[in-house]
Amino acid sequence: MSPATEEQVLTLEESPPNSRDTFVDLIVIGDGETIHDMPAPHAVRANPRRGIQAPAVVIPLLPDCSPDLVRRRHAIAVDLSVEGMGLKLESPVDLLTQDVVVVLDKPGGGFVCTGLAVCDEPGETPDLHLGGRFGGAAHDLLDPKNLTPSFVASQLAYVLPQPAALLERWAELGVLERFTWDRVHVCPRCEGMPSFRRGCQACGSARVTQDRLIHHYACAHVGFAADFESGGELVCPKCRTRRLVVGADFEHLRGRQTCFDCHWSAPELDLVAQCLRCQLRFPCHQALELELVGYHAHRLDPLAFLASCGRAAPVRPGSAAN
Amino acid sequence: MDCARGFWRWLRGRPRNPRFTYCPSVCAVVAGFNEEEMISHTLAGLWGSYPRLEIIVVSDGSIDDMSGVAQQFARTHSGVLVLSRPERGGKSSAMNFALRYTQAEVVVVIDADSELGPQAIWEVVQPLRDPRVGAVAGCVVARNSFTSLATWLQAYEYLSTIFVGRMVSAMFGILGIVSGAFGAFRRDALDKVQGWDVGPPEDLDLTLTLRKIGYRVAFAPYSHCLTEVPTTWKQLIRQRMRWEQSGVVRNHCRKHSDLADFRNANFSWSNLFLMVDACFFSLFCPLAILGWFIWFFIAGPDNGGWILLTLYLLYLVFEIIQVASLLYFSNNLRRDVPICMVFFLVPLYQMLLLVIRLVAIWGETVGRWSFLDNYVPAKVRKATWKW
Repeated sequence: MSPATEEQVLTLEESPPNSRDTFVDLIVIGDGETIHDMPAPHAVRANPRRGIQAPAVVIPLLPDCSPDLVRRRHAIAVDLSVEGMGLKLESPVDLLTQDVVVVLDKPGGGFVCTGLAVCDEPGETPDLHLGGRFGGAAHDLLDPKNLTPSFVASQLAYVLPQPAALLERWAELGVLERFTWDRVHVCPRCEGMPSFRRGCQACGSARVTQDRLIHHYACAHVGFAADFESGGELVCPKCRTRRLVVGADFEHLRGRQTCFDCHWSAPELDLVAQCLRCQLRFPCHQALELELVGYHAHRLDPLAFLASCGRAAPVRPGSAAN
Repeated sequence: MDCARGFWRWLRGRPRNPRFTYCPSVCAVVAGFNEEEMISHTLAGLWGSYPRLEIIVVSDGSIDDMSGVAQQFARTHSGVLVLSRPERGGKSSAMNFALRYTQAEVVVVIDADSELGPQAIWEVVQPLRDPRVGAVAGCVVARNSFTSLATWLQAYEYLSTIFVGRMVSAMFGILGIVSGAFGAFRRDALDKVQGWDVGPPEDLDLTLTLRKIGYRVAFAPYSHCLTEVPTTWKQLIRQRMRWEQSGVVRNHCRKHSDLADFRNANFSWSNLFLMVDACFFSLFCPLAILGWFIWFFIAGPDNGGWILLTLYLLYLVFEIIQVASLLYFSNNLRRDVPICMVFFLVPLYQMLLLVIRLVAIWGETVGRWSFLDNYVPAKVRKATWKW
């Protein structure tokens, strides 16, 4: 390794932590240059950060993604872009993971939160600056698709993507809001998803037959269709009128249903459910109504937040507005 | 003291201690159209009122939740079957529909908006012990007697023409109608005539058909059925027009004229008297009264006012006799005495009914108005025979 190369590496390692930002790896250091000769990070960012002053709370994540309440710190958000933000902590903190949830007070009231992958740890630096990019485990934690149940075909049930206990802990802190996402009817035995069909009120079987009757308009006779069939044509057994025409002379009526399996009969069928998981068959009204819970996070929209702070939104270099 | 206590008992309702010994299996058919509000009340009163009772409810194309309410009742009460048809087909076919699903020995027909009195089914089936009796008429009385003057007069009319009138008709063996609101039919007899024909009135038509094949018709005066009567004059006129149109002209004179035919195998003198009675009182008398009034107004006698007053007073005398007989047979004086207080208006009420009857007779004779009535749906009216 040449001396110049050694100097570059040495310079990088010794550079202050807050300079190790998004685009540090894009900086090309020429021969004889030190890190202090390089442009400041905000000057080289594709999306320059805007200065803000907003009270915030930083909640670090433990390795299991639960909130680390011991290392929770109040802070002031000092800059913000569409890709990341910087904060000034009220006291030093030693993070166990690189992921934190930042809860920001909105200027008009209320709060928003975001997940940050820390790039700029405060360490022992006197300014207590913490910076990072939107992303990482904390960002995934707040992603809407990870906060609402989805149907898992292998389990035949609705499942939350993350453990409910974990989300409940974040809800207790106020970062997440619990809400009823849906109500579904499930098997009373195993809570699996059922399929529904009209079936026998006694045994639930869908193998039923229904009486077919004929109402002859002219004489008001109502009888089973088989009694009307005579010599290949329809003849009313009461008034002996022949060659009956459907619609003009008679109408079909549907009578009682009879079950092939248990021979039970009734005029109406019940809505019967059968669990797809444990195969339990039960009347629909016995189904367990399950409340599916989802969680909602007031996620930070950087552009809207900057606008509400009275700061112009950062403009990407090279865009038409620039 | 005993005398006063006895009078009080008599006033509260004459105690009857009948011993019912005949207990056939009964199927109560309740057919209705859009009777969501009344059906549960009717079923609650009916269920459990007789030991061997099954109930069939037919919702005849109702667009309200009549069948849903009945289904709900059927889920919690055994022996209740609810049949529903998507389109209205008329009351006759609705009851014939129910006939397919019962094997009971007696079929009792009840209107969906009616309420049975205590032991009504017991009372109505007793005459069927006699195998010659094919049908038994129940006693229909008004439930809403004092809602308006129209209902008060109808309540009195029901008591005098049904309670007393049918008692007398049955006594002479010439009872010719079993009311569709409440009546009992022997199942064998219904099977012989294959149920009801297209109405209206399907009840009169079936009764005459049963008489024609040799059955007798009895009356159960103490099997009471309380029914709602029209509350306004307009509703009353419309109802009576329908009854009168399809009454004597259509049934006695046209469809069942062979009832008095000597050549008929089942000819009976009682059937002949029935025909004479119906034609005399329902056809001849109204026409005679009309003729007299025409003469009266053309001739214009000097003492016309006195003649009319005399006629009115004579009518009142007959009404007082009617009231006396009614109260004599009544088993519920507390209900019937107030109803009878309207008797002095009855002559005027009868004049209104006379006018309706004359118009209806004219319409049915000339234009067969009963076949234009939407009591039965158009598809049935179009297909049925115009008697």
